[in-house]
Amino acid sequence: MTRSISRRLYQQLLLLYTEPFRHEFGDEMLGMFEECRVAQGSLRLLADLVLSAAKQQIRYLSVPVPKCALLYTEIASSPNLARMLTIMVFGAALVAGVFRAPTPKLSQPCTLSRTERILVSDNRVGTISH
Amino acid sequence: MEPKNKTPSPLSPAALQILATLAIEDLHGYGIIQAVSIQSQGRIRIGPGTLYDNLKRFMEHGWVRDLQPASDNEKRMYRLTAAGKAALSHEIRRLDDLIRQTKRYLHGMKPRSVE
Repeated sequence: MTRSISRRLYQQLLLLYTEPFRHEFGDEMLGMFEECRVAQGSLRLLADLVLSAAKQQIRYLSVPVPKCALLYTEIASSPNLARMLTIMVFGAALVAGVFRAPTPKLSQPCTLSRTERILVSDNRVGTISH
Repeated sequence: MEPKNKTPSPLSPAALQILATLAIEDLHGYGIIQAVSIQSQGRIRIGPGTLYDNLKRFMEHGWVRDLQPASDNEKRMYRLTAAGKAALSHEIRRLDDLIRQTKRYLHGMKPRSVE
C-alpha cells in the first residue's frame, strides 16, 4: 500500500471514532501514523485503529443516558459504529436483492388488437365497441 | 473531568506496559510506543489506536494527565498521577501474589496421579 493511500485511508478511518475522541486525539494519531508506519506497517496500524475504534464505540454506547437527556435527541456529528454497521448490512442486503431478483417475463403474448391497445393507452377502455 | 472510582483490574498487557513506562518519566505519544517496545524487548508493539484508547481511559480514571505544550512545535506530554501510581502498584501486587502462589504450587505440589 503506497504511503499517500494508506495515510488517506487512515485519515478516513479516524471517522469511526466518536467525535469527542477524534477531537482530542485525532491530529496526534494522524501525525503518529507516519512515525509508526515504517516500524509496524500500514496494515497493522489500520487494523489497530479499527479494533480500538470498535472498543471506543462499544464503551460509548454502553454508557447509560442520564434521565434528563430523554427530552432531547443528540445529533451525532460523526457516524457511529452501530449506524454504519446497520447501513452496511442493509446496503449489502439491497445489493444482493437487486442481483438475485428474477426479471419479470410475460407468460403469454398480448392478445389485444391494435385499436384496443391504442384505446387502453389512451385510458378509454370503457368505450371499446366491436 | 471527574475521575471514576472503579478500578479496572486486571489490566491488559498493553495498559500495564503504558503505565509502567509513564511511571519512569513523562512521555509523549510516540515516546510511549517506543518505550513500550524497548521495555518489553519487542514483544509488545502497540499502535496509536491502542495507545490513545488506553490513555483516554486512564485520563477518565484520573490516572494520567496531559501536559499541554507551550508552543505548537512541542508535543503533548503525558504524566502518571498519584492515583495512577496507586493503581499500578495495586496491579503489580496482584501479579506478584499470583506469581508467588503459582511458583509455590509448581515447586511444592506433586501431580495427583503419582499419589
